[in-house]
Amino acid sequence: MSAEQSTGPRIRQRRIEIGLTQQTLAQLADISVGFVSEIEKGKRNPSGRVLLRIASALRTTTDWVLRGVEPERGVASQHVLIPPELSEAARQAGLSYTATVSVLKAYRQVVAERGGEPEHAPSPDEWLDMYRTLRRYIEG
Amino acid sequence: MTFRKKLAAAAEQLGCEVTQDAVRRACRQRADSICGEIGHDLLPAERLEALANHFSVEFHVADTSQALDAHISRLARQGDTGFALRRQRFEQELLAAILRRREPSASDRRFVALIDARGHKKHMAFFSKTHEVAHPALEPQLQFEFRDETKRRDEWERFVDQVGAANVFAGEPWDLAVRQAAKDGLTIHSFETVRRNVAPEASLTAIALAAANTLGRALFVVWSGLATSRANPKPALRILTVTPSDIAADAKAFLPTNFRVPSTSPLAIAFSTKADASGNESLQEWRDSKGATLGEHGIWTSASPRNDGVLGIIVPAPARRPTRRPR
Repeated sequence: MSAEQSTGPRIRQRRIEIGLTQQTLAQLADISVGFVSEIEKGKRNPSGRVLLRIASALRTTTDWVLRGVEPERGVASQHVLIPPELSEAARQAGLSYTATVSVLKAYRQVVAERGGEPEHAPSPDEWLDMYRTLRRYIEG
Repeated sequence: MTFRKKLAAAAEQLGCEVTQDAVRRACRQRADSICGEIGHDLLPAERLEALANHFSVEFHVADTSQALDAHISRLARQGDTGFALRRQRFEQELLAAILRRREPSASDRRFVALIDARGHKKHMAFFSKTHEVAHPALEPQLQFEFRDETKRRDEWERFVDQVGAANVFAGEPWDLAVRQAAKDGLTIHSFETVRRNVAPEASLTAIALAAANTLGRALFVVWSGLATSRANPKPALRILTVTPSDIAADAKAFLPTNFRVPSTSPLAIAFSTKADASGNESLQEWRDSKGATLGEHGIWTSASPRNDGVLGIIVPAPARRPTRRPR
């Protein structure tokens, strides 16, 4: 989807992409189906508040809806430092480098939590448990 | 990364002094600016959505175990496996978690927050959302593909709670509703009115605490129920949980848990009559098994029976004009 597309077609394409009907989008955004149709055809401009509700219903941002802006991509790490406990687990289980890094990335992907006991650095057995949890996703 | 370093990183990106007050104020100013682009009379839920939109956070709320598993599986199949490793923690006290998408498409939001709204966690779901949105707001390092291990994590998480709530429970409709609640008396009834009018998605506890913080007042939300102690094995009405407002916490004001509620307290009256009760009382009436009191402090208590316990709002002196005196 390109930035040259206007708001209406972008909304329509995203709606279809995530499997929403116009009616469902209307319900989620608390507007009429007719209004959704007119917005998608470029015949009406939604207010800021309505645009926010539409973006939320489409699980995207108002920036993308209005301008088709790509999200900023963070600077990727140059080096992957594998903790020694994970190295030991990988050695014990004969994990490939790719599988090992996948487990590490999954562990680090959650950037914050609310509630829950503080975590400690995982032991080799705990890394292996994580691999077993993720195996079906890592190995397809 | 220590609390101090995280605070310094937040202060640097906000362009303010490295103090908690300065960072809170700067965050709030930025939140007001972000929300102001949408409208100047946003309700708290709309402010939350505006901030989630700006910081590119997508919420998924799970009110059943099946829904929780479905969210986790769907994201894992898309390559975002972080929550799959947290599944067991959600069975304990984990309320919410946020991950950074590995490969967001042009139209995806960058962060996904999974909120556990099952059972008793349901009442904390809205506050958990305000908390999770505050993380990318405060932590510029989250744009990088790593997760740091934070020492003094509890202290940082409490700070994120405060910033999240201050950013969302704000704006003209909120301020007006809270000022009215203050005029009506900081009672459960007045907080219910605030909730009904401006923030039906939030819990009464979140509303009461946020209102107290907006007003700069010390306040406690307490939950009382039947419990025993080592000295007294016979069940009696006791304070089970105490949640202080920011002012009360900063002042290190303290109400002990498992303390027996005196029969003269509105909390006890509400429990026995199954009707709301409120009034002035003195903590001198609160005695432990050895007869020691909590001191000569006047408080205003508003109590309402709920399920098998009593929800209470306690505001320290100055004493307020009672609407109903405890007998």
